[in-house]
Amino acid sequence: MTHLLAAIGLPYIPGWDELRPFAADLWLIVTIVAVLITPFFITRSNIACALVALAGVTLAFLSQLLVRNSPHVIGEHFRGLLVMDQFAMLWKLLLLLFVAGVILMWFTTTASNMHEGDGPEFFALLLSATLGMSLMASTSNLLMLVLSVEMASLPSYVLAGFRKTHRIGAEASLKYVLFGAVTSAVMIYGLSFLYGLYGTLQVGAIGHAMAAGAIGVGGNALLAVALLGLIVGIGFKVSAVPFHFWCPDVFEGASIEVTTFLSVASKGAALVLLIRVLTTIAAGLGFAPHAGMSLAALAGVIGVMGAVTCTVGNLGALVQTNIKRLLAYSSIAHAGYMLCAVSLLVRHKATIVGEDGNSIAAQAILLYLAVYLFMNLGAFTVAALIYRQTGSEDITHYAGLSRRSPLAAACMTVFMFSLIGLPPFAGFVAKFNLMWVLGTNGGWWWALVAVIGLNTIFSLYYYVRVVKIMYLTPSDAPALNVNPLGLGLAVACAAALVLLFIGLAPLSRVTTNYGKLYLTSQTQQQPAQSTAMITGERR
Amino acid sequence: MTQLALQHYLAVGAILFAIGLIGFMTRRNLIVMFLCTELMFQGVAINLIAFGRFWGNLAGQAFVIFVLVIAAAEASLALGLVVLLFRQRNTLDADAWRDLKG
Amino acid sequence: MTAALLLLILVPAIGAAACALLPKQGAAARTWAFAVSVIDLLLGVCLSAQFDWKTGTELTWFGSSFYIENLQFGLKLGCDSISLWLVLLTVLLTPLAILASFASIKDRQKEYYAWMLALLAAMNGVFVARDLLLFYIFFELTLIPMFFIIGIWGGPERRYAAGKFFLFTFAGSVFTLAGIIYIGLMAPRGFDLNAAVQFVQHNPEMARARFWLLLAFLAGFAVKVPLFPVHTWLPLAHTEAPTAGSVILAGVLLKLGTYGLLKLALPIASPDAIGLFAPYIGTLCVIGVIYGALVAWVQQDIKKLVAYSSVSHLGFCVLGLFALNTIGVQGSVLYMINHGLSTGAMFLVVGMIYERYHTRDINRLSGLARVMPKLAFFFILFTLSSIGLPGTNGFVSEFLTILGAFTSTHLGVSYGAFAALGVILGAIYMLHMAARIIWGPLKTPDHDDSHGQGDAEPATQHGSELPTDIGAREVGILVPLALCVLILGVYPNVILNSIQKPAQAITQAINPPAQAVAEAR
Repeated sequence: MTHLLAAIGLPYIPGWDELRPFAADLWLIVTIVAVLITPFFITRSNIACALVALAGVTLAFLSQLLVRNSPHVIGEHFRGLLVMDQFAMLWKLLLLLFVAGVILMWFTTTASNMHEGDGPEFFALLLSATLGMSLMASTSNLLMLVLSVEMASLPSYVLAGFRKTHRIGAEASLKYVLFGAVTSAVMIYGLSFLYGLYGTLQVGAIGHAMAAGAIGVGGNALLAVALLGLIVGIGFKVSAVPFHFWCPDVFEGASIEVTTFLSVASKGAALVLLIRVLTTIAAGLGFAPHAGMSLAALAGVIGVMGAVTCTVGNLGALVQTNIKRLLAYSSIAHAGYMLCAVSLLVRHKATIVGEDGNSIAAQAILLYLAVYLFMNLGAFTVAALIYRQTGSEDITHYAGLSRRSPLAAACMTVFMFSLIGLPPFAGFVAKFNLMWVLGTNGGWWWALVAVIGLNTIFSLYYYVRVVKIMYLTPSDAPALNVNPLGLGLAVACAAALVLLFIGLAPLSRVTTNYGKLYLTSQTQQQPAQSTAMITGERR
Repeated sequence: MTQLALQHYLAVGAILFAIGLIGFMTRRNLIVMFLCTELMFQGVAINLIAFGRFWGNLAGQAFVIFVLVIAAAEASLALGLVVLLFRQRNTLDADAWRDLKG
Repeated sequence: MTAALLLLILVPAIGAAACALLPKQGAAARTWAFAVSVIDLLLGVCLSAQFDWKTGTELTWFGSSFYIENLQFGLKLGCDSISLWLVLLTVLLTPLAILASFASIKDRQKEYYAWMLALLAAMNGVFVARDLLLFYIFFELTLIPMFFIIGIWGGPERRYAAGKFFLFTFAGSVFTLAGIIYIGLMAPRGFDLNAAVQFVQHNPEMARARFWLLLAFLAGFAVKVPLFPVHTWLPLAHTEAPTAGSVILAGVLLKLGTYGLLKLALPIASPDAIGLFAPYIGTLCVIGVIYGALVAWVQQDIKKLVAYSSVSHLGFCVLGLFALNTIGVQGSVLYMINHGLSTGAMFLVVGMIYERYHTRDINRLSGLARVMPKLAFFFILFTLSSIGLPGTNGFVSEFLTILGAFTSTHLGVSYGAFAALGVILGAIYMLHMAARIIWGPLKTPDHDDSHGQGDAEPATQHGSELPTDIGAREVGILVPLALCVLILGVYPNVILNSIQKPAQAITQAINPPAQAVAEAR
């Protein structure tokens, strides 16, 4: 026994200093347990679970707010498995805020319909997925990458098919699992080559190893497979073309708060992860176009993917009449816009990542997500409110909404105009900032600016159509008696969009300060074998 | 024959993965499609173990354990859904579920 | 004290929010909106009192606490004499348009007047913005209020008209945004309008980009003006909009396009690029002038006729700009003001006729002078102004733009000649309409075939509370415009002198020095 202990060493026990930066994630874990045991104490467990979940998310949010960016918080933790930096902090705050919004939305949409006793499962799944998405922002290790992605995905699959009796719900869920499993297999296959080529799971170390040594023609081919696998896996989560076809189906089939959750949180987390991994690798290569491997080619692939994704999303949305499908295609388009920013991996003209790891792409995406969260939460909330009253998700049934429920129609108008990117709503700020950041780098990134501009014109058509139906099409349908809580949520989101536009200066200051990624520099780098936790001695 | 080298393991992994991928794309039976994704995961596992052995660290092996768990979780989830859908339609043909336009 | 610049935008913006939040629908909203717009008019007058008309120094206001460093974007407002005249046009037309809506807008008054005030804020913002991004934001902000004004309170085709208006103008302006971002990224002082323009003009590295920048700005502004091939949204939007909407649309919104061309497109364009473009633009303008006039001639709907006359008139306006000499530019700025006054007034008069007879069909109306002498007087006055009869305001500006085209090194005699043909056509179609509607035997929808019965009471059934002829409120709307028309007709120098300097500054920057010297001689 002593011999065995000597061989494997004492088990690794993280200290308080290492746990504290991840207080939000720990609170989420506590909340998941609390939600699961709630039914043992309270009979009407659905509402109680929702309240427990809401309280837990709020606690997590507050504890995350209290995390200061002091030197012993920023950096790698748990022997390099997780990273904490300003970028992750802000994403966690946004995510928790959004999830709180989704839970509030649940009260107005599904609370009265949900089968009694399903609550604990539903919220445990929702929070588990949230935990996974929160960890996705903090991964600097390939194993943690896979774990966090799966942690986010598996509960999402179940959530998508949570309405068991609903046939299209189950079908959507099945499609989601099928393609999700295949793409995650492809992703892990790719990652296995990344590990095989450099002998470490640490992303930072991989970047430096790439810069250090040539790996030959065969090696380069394997590297291409590896990165392709990564892009396929994350592309599926982002719903980037050509891995987007699940998105409209799942969004239509899932219940509306799950759709809302997936539209922002799932895609946002995947983008955040992609930024983290690719920027870390590119930092190792010094952001030079032809260092180690052709970083420019990778940037090009992602740029093209972003451009194609937003175009396909917008063109697909043109013909939709179901509001959920319309917003699904719209979310594909918005993911495409953000994906364009991820392509800022090569230093062309401007410094895209400063000395302190301040990445302009990270800033732009955080700002976009901060705005997009309110737009989508609000738009889906209004859609849910109308669905509750009319039983229809078809936008033709929105006729005359401006009279039937003036406030809901006004809010929806704000969301639609903001999604187009029109002032005076924050959507304009987000989109403008994105174009600005792409233009900063000059070169072919201007083409992406042009593509985003053109797509904005396409998108105008379908967003304005919703407004036109609400305001300009008369209808004799009776007035709607919408749920006041949901209406309040929608009004809050609309107000947030206007305030974020007026508060453009503070918003941009926050995202600038919090766009910093922790990047291992050459001097800090240690041999991979000693930093990785799960590394034994060399044979 | 010489000793088995890294590339042999990688070849087996690649073949398993390819069979899985091709099978997934060509077959229409839901159960078989899921078996194919499992095959893909096994190809990945072989890859990881071979690389772990090559580098002489345990990272690859540790990774494999997690991959197997993930594969199991995905399979259990998927089979549960298949049962649910089978009850609705009494068929395992993937083409039977075309309510959503894609 | 230059805070008046900010107040010019803030007062109507806050007024709009307050109007939307009024507890109940009804007369309170319209009184409130009228009061707010009159306050804005007074602010405009204050501003012009502060303005140093002799030196033409720009008034500026800068909100330093809103400055965003990494975007180099700040709240920078300012106005030179050109901006100030356009602001004055805006603040004059808006209260009149609101006053004109008193009788015609019965439905959802709160929202309507809130949108009118929001529109006022946005239009003022465009003219006083001295930051490129701010300019763009205000430029876009005019879309949403106008979309709803046309879409909710417009005529039978309003849905289509509102959508088309929105889509066309927005599509064009996206290119402008790309150009603005490019300038903002390149210029050392970011989006600061004057600094950016200076930078683009004097930096040799920008030489190639200036061609594309000109294209980008043309795309946005040409749709707004609108130039010939992209004008199709305009007749529709004008016809379907409620009277006040048409007035603002023709009077001010179209000027946003010409103002943008003048303030941005011309200064940033390189002499080569503009030399290349000017003949094409000039050709499009002339086509617009002739085409607009010919189409106007065959219209049966008075409002549509006036709308097409706008296409024709704006052709003159842009022709003057692209003559690229001081006379042309001066004439063009004067044209912006005059077109705003006379076409705005035409739409008001047409609206008054429509309120009474619920038709705008030329064939169903005739001899209105017999029952509505006061209206007939104004109708003829504004018609003459629109034609450009000497003594009215239209004459001077039309003359100057054509003269500009004649003497331009870029355009030349043929452009001027064809544009002059447009003047003749303009006289034909306007007089054709006026003659049929105002004179001849009395014919109204209710009194078909009642030839010559001058003292019939045609309006009793329809315009229940409206008098047969225009009442005091309506006279009050038209008198200020009529006065402006006559004053500017007799003494256009009040505007021309004050805009000479900025106009020269613009043309000198475009034309190579040799030409500028030659022109000065």
